[in-house]
Amino acid sequence: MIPDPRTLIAAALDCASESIDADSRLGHHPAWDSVGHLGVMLALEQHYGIAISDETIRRYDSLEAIAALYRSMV
Amino acid sequence: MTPAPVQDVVERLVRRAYENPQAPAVVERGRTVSYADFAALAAGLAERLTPFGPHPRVAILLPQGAEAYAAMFGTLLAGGYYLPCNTASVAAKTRAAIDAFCPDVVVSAPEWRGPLALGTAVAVIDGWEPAVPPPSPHPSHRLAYVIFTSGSTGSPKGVMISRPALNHFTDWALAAIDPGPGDRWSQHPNIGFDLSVLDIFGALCSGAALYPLQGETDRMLPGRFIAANGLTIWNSVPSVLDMMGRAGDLTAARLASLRLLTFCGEPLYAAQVAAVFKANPAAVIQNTYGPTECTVSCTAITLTAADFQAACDDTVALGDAIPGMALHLVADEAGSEIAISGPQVADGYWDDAARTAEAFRTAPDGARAYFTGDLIRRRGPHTFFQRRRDTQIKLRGYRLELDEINAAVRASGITAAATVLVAGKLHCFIVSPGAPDLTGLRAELERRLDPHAVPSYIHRVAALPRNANDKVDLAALERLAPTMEPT
Repeated sequence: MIPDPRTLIAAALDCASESIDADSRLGHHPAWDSVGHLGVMLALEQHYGIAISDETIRRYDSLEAIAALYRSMV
Repeated sequence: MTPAPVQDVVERLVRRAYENPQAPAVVERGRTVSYADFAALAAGLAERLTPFGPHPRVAILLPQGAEAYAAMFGTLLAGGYYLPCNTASVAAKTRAAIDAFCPDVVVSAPEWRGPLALGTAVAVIDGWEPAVPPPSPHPSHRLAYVIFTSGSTGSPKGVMISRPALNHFTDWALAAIDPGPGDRWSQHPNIGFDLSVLDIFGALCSGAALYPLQGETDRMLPGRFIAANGLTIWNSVPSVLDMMGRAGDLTAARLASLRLLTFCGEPLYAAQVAAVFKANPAAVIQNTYGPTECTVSCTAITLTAADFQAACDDTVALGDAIPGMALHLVADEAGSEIAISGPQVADGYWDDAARTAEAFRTAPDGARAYFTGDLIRRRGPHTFFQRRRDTQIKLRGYRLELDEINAAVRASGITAAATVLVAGKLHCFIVSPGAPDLTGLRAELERRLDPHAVPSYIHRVAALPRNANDKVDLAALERLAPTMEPT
């Protein structure tokens, strides 16, 4: 079962999923700093099969971008 | 007996290039620069600096890599001194440092200097050709580099490091680490952080190959970078180990090639050391301590898997002063503060006599010393960091004055502000007469402060709590922070 984006991000950031809103992104959520982004990318690698690269680190830095990825997968 | 004169860093580089010209000096993604080519690159920049007089003042605004390192050596070769700028810093901060430094020339590239809008008043070198190194360096300036650190008033402090100080530190590094051809040395800290000085001069003055971590992937997953490149020497702040641990990379598969890991910049925890030795029991760890004002570091302790626990409680001991440097413990009602004297002590703060006089004073034995503000405790033969005298913190290795954040908040129109660090997150408490525009405030802080310095939380309060001395009660704010609604 592939976790939905909000659940995946909240688990990666170790925060409540209610705190993840449409504006959540790297630097704009208390837990989504550079260390938190590592957690998000590792989760994307594990659950969505995304290869971590300079390009994907930059691209998937928001709920919006990860939600778009999720929609393309399901 | 008079000690042997310390060799200059430029002479060391030229010798390495002469002895082993085809050996790799800098290994980047898709490019390897040999020692011969690297020395020629440095010499080429030195030639371009000729019009700026015998001691050119040079700002270097380039990312980690061969050009940035060659610009440093080239400036020193030309008899000059430089300001290393972090290309990841926000434009306002970099511009402020460059304006304060008033360089003769900025060595950069359009993509890095563009956001700074430097105008046409300052000369720029955007690229240069290699040249044949001269038989000897030009007579050197007193200074080697000026590096800016966080300042409590909101304006950063430019720490002036002399050429003899840099030579002394490099001399120690080469003796303590014993690098040489065949070693593959990481270059993790950005060039605006003085921990990078150890990598750059330690590797390139010894014949080792330097491996800059240039991409987001390398920086996010340094364990994979170590394994992919077979690194033998790793240098960073200790919190990078936490990143490796979170990525599952503190393993034999990732760390087996390392013979030495060296740490500085923040307390090294015993648990971090244990994790490294579990992955690589044959490695040696060197923990060092020192402020930017004393040229990177001035203590060291060497740990092995067999003996490290004797030098640990929660954190690892700071170690003893390196040869030539001295630690002085100055006790008052706050505790025992470390003051440091010796040839690596900075000449002071750039264009700031008041802050220089405040921090660089006379030690009890009469020596000129830098008073660190670091309070320590002793246990047996070991010295451990305890806490700061002021509100300076280290956050993921970044040195940060909390008052710099408060100054930025107040400059954004807020009446009063106080910031505390709780569980690794910055909480800023603000007093504002009306309902503040928090989105606008956050945007303004992102313009003024580097990303690590922007508070995770901003809390509006009616008034800041005060202690018996009518100072802001930071301990009360630290207790209050976890109880506040997230904003």
